[in-house]
Amino acid sequence: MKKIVSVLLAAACALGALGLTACNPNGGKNVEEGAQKVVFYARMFEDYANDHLDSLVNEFNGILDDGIQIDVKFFPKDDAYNTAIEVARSNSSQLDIYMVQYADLYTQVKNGYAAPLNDYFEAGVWDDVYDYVLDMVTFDEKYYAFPWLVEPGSMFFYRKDILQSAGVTEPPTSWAALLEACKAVKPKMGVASYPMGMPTGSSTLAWSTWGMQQSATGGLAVDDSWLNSRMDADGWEDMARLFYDMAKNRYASIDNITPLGYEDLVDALCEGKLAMCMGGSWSIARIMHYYPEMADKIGVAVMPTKSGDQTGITSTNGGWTYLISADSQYKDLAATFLKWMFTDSAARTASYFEVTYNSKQPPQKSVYDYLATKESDVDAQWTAVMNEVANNGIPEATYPWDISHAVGMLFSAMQVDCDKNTFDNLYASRHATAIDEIDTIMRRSSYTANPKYRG
Amino acid sequence: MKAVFRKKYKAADSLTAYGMLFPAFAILSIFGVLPLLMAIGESFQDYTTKAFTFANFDYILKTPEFLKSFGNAILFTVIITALMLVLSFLFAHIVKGMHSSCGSIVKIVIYVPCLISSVATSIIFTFLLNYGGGLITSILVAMKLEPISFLTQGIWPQTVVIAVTLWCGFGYNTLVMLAGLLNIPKDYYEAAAIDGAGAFTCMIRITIPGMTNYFILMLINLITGNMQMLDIPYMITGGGPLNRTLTPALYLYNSFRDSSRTQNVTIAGALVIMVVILVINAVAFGLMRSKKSED
Repeated sequence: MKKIVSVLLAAACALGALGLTACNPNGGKNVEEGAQKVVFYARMFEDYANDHLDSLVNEFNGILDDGIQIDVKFFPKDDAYNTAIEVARSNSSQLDIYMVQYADLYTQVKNGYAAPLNDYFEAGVWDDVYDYVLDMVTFDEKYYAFPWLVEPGSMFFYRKDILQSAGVTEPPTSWAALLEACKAVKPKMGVASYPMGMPTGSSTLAWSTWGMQQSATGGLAVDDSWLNSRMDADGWEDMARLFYDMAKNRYASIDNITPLGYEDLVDALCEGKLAMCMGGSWSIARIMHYYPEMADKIGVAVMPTKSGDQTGITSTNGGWTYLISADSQYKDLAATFLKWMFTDSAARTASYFEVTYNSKQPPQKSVYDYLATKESDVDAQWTAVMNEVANNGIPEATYPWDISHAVGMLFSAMQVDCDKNTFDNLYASRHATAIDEIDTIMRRSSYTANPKYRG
Repeated sequence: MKAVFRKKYKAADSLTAYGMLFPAFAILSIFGVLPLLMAIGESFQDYTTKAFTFANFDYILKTPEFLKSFGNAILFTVIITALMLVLSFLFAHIVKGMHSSCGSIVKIVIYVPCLISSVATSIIFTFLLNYGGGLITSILVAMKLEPISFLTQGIWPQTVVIAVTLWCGFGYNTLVMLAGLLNIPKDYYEAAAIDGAGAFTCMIRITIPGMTNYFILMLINLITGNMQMLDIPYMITGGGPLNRTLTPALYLYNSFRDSSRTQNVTIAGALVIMVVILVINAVAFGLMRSKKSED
């Protein structure tokens, strides 16, 4: 009888142990007994990027004597990710590390969500970060995020074979040349195919055109102090006319032709539905990962500009950063993980850029130098263009989003309502609306001047 | 002795009544009144300093998108409410006149869309109408025709949102109308027929007055439901193009998901919507007040 009881007890213990292992959030991998859990909310990107981050976390958790276990929770894209962060914050759930885009960083700082990192990293660490990136994470002389990657939001991609068949030998450098190229290519395109892929929808147009706005008008919707509207500057009408002409002549679609819109617009280029398109630097990774056989037929260039001068600003530099939550009880442990990710080994940090086909610029000099020594399947000219655009780029706008959205609405109206009205009438009415909306937003009692403005 | 017994009995009776009321009162307080009071408190509070402020209301009322969304919601509400009332009333009339077995089949068929969630319905319509590969686009492209941008161009986006909303609610509203029509005593119609009244007179003098309270119920339901419309525009158009299908609830949903914005502003917006819907409903009640409903 005793024997039976012992066997049953042993079996119960074994089952219990199995159950505990199964319930473990790390799936039984690299569990450090008694270690403090640090919760990391990660936003999902491409599968290969998610897998890479997951493997890095597992590698870190494999260090079994540091007293830290990272509990990474992946959330899909912006909607679910932002909601999850909001919910965690509202419920005071544990949230130690999270990701934010450069453009959203200021509001994280203003609302007291982000902890300054100065006390957790040695001063020398920041010397390795490029000045233009460091500036994007600095507020009141404190660093509020560790920069992960920089990606220019607007570059020019084209199909060499289609352009050649239409007699276009060089990628266009000016808007006039772009329209000419579209005119030449149009007869070569079939039904539901277009010469050019442009961003569509007011929200996408709001941010994807920041570089064009700077290039065409000499600035953005408000001046550097954020206290004065710039909507009466020269260049807005020319820019609006470009979107109008593109839509009116159906050189570009007025609706998304790919499931994710601007994000995967380059897919349509690879599939022959477009001859040219605008796209962020992430498009390089999409081509290399999903359409490697098309790489030889695709060219990458700087976005055409109003004047044809492509040596200046043509894009903003977007990208992602890692933050430590101001409410975190384990800031030092979270910082230990970030230091391991970004400062211990250039090879480790660079591995992300290799996995993503050199489609982003590393914010750290050591990582940049390391990558320069590595062989890559990606056309060196593509990477060179991406670096050139990033080096000339400006940070994304951090003034209230509604202002950018009002401008996005102006351009979107040029596309959506192009068949309803003449350009002059349409522009007059929508431009006046944009001015009115921006003025309303600037009259809010909570509206502030640019905290970084030193004018 | 009698008085003492009555007193004891009354006290026990009251205790039982309070005991039975307590669960409902507690649930309503915990999930209704308390959150509302907390929301009012949050809406007048600065997120970081916790100080009293009107800034959240100032922010939301100086947000052009939010203000525009009310215009859209009112337009949708007026069109959908009018169409739904007229169409469901007429169709209920047709169903009432049908043979019982045929009527039963029709009732089941028109009720089926109500069994599908509006999110699923929206997905089905998106599969049909999507520009970048929807079924209709694919058919047009196969026929060498240019695809139609249903979710962007002209009045298509608003039309699609209205049509899907009608499709989702038509069955339920028709059945409510039918219940109302069947509730009117046949004697009235027989008496009217003896007096020589025609179909039109019966409709004006008997059917419509007899349906007044059903109209009020549906009107209030439709106004409240459509002013808070969220899922269909969110799933189909995302509020676009040019915010033409953006509704206040959708704006708030987007605002909630905006991790860079404090929730105090979103809560202030929610309270503004609540007040607007309260006012609209009060006006609707006032306009439609019937003798019977007062009773």
